[in-house]
Amino acid sequence: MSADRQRRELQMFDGAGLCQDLLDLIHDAVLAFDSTGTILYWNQGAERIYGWSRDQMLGQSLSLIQWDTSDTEHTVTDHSDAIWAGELHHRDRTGALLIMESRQIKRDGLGDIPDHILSINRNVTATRALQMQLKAHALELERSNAELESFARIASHDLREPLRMIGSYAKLLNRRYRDHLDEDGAEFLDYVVDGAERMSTMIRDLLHVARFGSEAIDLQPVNLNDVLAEVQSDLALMIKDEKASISVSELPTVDGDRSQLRRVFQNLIENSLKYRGTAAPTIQIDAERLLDIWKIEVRDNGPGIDGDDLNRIFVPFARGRRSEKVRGTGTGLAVARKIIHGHGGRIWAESEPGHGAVFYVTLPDRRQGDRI
Amino acid sequence: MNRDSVRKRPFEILIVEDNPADVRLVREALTESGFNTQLTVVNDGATAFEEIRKAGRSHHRPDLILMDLHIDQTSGLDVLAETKQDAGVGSIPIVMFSTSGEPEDIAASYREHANAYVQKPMDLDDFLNAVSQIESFWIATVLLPEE
Repeated sequence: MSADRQRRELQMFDGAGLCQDLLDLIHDAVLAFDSTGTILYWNQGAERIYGWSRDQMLGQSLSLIQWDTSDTEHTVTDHSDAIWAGELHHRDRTGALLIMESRQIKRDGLGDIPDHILSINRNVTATRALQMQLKAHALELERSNAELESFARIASHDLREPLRMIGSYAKLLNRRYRDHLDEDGAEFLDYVVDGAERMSTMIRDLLHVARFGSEAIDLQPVNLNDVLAEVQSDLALMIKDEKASISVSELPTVDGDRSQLRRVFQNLIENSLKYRGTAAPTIQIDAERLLDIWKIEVRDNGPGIDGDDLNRIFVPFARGRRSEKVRGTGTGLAVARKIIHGHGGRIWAESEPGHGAVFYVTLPDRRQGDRI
Repeated sequence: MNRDSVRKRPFEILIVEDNPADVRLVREALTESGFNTQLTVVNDGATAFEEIRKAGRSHHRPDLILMDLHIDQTSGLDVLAETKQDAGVGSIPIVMFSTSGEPEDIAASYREHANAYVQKPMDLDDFLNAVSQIESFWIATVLLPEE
């Protein structure tokens, strides 16, 4: 940069005109007032926000824009020399409430200028309204979720009763009267028995899903290495049958409910074993620390999951497209999701069809400094 | 009096159950097991109270009460509590027999001094088996107070 140009720029920034322009360019309201609340300065931002022009406001009282004029917030004596920051309730020219995030500083007078306060006010009315709306929506969502959950629970309870009658009497009919039925009759009866049995399993699983998340979790330190060892021992037979190999990296200790977390990893590994490809299943489990969360991944070499199914698979009974030949009702991942959400974590799947699937589980790391 | 003499008269079971289909299933189970039993069926709480009180007065008490948890009018729990607090009939064993497997239902039943809580199994064979186990336990395994 040439010395000339540098000098020119310095001159520019020294100019009072530039300061004026800058003050008018900013979105926020910039004002100054003296100890009696008489307004001494009013920028264009203030004109836009409050609806009063500079000419109208200079010399006027601050009480014109105060929501509650009994507020004595703006007196020079209230201010120490430090910057004051806080939220103020103002009103615009039409009388509408404005929520302003304000920063103020006291300045001593000089010459004609009396002691005064400089104030820069940011209009956060819309933001606050949005925040309140979001909060209300979140509460509403929570309420309707809880309602839905108890509905599912009650419905499945009440459905069990008539279903037990259908199933029991269809079986009794089959036992006592099968010989009296012709081939068609026997076939029809088989469908009734089979349907009742499948529905009974679904209701049982649905109740199982509903049960998780309804109770508070008693957080205990859980060593995930131990959990994975237990899961592998529980699934030993299935692992052997599928000729699967499972390798587990060093995993962290997290805070959670041990049996629930065990259920999560059991469901994930079972899932990988069930939805296997033609090659022997290999499952790799790793953990990674990201700021204040643990991210645990369960990676398999199965057929993978189609994009459309990546979210669906976590919904009860909504099984993936490749599930026709796989036993179960499809609630394992729904249970895993409820448990992980209950722990304040997230669970999701990523996959490139044909190249396996990866399930990610994040759990908050409440054990700061306790590294692998 | 020894056990053999007890068994000369039928083992009397009072069933408190509002679902006739379930009553029938219990009957089927009892028929299959071959014990000499006599069933009295009431299908609501008020009648159950009445029947049990009558039994207390007449010194002719059922040997066992099989009680559904969710019945018309009064809850099975109320009938249970009332019966257990009555000196005359409180010693009659009461087996709660319900579709519910909810921990609260189970805990409340034992709190009110149920002698057992059995969940009605969904599957027919399991159901028949459960009834016959209840029956054989209370008829052949345990000793009950004499009237």
